Amino acid sequence: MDPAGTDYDFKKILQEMRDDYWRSLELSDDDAGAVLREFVVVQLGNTRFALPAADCREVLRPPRIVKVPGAGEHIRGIINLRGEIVAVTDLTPLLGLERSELPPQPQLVVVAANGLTTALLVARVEGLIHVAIDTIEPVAAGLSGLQHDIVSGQLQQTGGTLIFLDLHRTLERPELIIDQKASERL
Amino acid sequence: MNWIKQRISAKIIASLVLIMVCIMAISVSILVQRRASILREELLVKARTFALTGAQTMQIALQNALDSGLLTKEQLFDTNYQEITSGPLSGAAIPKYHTAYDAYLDKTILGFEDTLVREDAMVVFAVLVDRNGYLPTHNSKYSKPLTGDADKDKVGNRTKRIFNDPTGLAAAQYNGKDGNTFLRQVYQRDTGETMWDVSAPVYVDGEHWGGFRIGFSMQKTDEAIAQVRNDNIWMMTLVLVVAAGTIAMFVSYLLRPLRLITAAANRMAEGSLDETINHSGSDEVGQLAAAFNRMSQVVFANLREQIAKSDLMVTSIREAIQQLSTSANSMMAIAAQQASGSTEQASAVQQATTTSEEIAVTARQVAENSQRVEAMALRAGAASSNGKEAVEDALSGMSALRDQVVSIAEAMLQLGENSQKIGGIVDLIDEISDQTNLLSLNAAIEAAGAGEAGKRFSIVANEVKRLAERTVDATTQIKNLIGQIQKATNSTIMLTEEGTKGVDAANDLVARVSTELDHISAGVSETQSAASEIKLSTQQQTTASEQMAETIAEVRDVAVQVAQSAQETTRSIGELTSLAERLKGMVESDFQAKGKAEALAGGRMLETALNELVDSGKLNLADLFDENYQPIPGTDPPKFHTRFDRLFDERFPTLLDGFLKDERVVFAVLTDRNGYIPTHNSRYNQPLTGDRDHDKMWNRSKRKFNDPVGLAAARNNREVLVQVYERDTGEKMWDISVPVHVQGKHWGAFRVGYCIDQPGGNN
Repeated sequence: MDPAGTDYDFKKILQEMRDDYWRSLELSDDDAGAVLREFVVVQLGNTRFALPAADCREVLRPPRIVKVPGAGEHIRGIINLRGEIVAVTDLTPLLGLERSELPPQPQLVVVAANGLTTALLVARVEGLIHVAIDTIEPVAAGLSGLQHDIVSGQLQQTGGTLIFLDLHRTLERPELIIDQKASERL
Repeated sequence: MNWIKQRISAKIIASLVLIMVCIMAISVSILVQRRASILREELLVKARTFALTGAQTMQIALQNALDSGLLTKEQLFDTNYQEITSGPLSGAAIPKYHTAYDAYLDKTILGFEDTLVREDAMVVFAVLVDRNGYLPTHNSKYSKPLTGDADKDKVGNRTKRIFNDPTGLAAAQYNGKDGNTFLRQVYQRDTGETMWDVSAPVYVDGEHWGGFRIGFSMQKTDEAIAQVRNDNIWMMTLVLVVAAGTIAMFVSYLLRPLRLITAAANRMAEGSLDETINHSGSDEVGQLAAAFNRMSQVVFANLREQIAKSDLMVTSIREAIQQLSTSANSMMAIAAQQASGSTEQASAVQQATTTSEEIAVTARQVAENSQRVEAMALRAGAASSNGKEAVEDALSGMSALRDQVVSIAEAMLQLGENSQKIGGIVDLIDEISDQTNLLSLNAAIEAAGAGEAGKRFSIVANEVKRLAERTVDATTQIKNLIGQIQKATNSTIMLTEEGTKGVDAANDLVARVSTELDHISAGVSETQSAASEIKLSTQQQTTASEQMAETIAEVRDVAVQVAQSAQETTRSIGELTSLAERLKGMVESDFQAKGKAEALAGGRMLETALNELVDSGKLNLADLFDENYQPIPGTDPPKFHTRFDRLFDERFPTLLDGFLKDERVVFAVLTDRNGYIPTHNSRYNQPLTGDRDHDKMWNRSKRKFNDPVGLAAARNNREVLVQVYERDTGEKMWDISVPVHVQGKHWGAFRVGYCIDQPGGNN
């Protein structure tokens, strides 16, 4: 916490960042061997999940969430996204995770699959990562009660196990569909 | 010799006798001398005749023997003395000798020699001796047969010895060639008588043979001379005695008036002044007596006046002496008091000196101490004023500090507010970066959606994201820093508040210190002034005590002087007292002389009165000397009657009381030789009361006063006896007694008691 120990030479920091940028550009040009996929890493409860970036539309700060009475517990409410009504889905019940309190600054990740668009309520969005497909491992049997059908794989990382979700399958869950229909009835 | 010296008659007789004795002695001696020389002359003629006759006879006898041929000349001059060793004359102690002729001489000359001795008593011996002193034939009375007793034979048998003693040898060898015909030698015999040895030479055939010696005893002659002398002396003595007696009687007769005058003068000398002599005569002595009478009258008259005057004077002198003694005594007491007082004063002064010295020392110490205190107070004052300055500095420093602290606090508050604002700004930046992050994420998602085409875009988005993340890091750090700053400012503000409080407290403390210092300063200043005052006053005190010491020393000197003068006073008073004593003694001796004279005169008068009583036959002498004291019954102390006391009671009281006119005379009484007082003075003869003590004092007649003084007075047979004693009342008494003789017999005495301490004493 010693302020003196921290370097605040912005010129230097900016120079480093410029160097990194140019290096990244060179790396992206050179890397053609491995098949990379982008994933958005989110945090739900205590578990980190990776969502395929292709299925993600945008990341939001939750605007005013209007609660919908009589909806399932996994539906937290609805939001107005630039004129479009989008449901806010909490995946934790679906994943069999312990339902946890909403994080102080939750974020919404708008996903679209199978023609269904919804905003997933997550605790935090870590960022976008590039993962080689072949490094993803299948989910080991008996993995902590998770629904095998929506989990496509896992990856052991230094920060813990990263679980890959198959959003297509997830959004094919009946609960979600029914709910959509129900909402359409409204 | 005193007897001679004291009498003119004796002196006259003595001188007369002396002169007469001298004249008579001279005349007697001349007379006797004359007589003796005549006698000796006669004797010498006789002696010469005898000697010459004897010598001639002896010469004839010897010549006859020679001529007749009985003896040869050789035999006749034989000096070959043969010591007799046989016969009746042998064995004598002194040797005897035979010669050729001695036997012949024994036969022829003994008769002649003995005739001379026998016929004249004065002739002691008449013998022939040869020229060597040899005595052939001695007189028969010296030729007694030998007895064997050496002493007897030496005197009784003297024949045929050689008498070569100087006298003998001179007689033997005298040859008559000196012109005289004989030799007289005078010598003392061992019996004491004077002897004449008269010798004449004997010649035979014209040759000196020896001498004829005749010894004359001078005893007869001396006796004759002595007889003459004695006769003369006896005659002279008779004449002397008769003459001396006659002269003595005559002179004594002539000098009788002189003795009378002498006696009278003696009496006068002893005090009996009124003396006259009964002597009528017109010779020198008579004139002397008359002159003496006139003189005594004049002297008596003058003396009376003088005595009266001197009595007065003596009385006043005595009073003066008494006063002097009293004054001297009181002065002595005063001087003693003064001396003791001055001694006390001296010791007190000594104490005072010591005390004042102590005070001076103490004052000096106090002064020194106060000086020190003053110096210390000065220093303390300086220190406190320094302290005050320091405190003031401190105060101003404090207030500056307080201001600074307050401004620091204000600055800190400002800083806190500013950092709050910074926090707001940082939050904004945080928001912005968060937004940027979100944007970058969405951009990355968009890029991912774009596939290969969005690859570069995704890099940009990533970079934006990283920028935003760095921004968040920085803002986080800023927030931390702000927090720190806020904490620091908060604690600083708290500290500054505390500091302010501390400064205030310190300020208060310093203010209190300042106040205290003010107090101290005031106290110190007071101390200083007090010390200074003490110093001043102790200096004054020192001066005062020194002055006091000087004063005390003066007082001491004065006290010493007073003591000395007291001693001198004491000495002077002592001298005064002794002078007074001497004066008193002188007065007393004068008084005593007068008393003696009066007592003597009184004694004479009473003696005369008693003698007249006896002479007139009114009192028998035996009665007067009665010692058969008859006790009077019922008297205590006992009283006695005698055969004379009643007559005394009639005759003497007035006479005796007369002496008591002199107020110093306590009593004047007659006492017999045993101390019996027949009649006392009327004062002591008051009627009996029955009270023993009163009567013992006031009725004293007819008692025996045989106490030592009384008895000594009664038995005194000398002229005057003075006894001094103290009465039981403490007064000094003189008991003067004069013996009283009646008909020449010692009867008793006249006693007069004088009280010498109290002239005018009432008893």
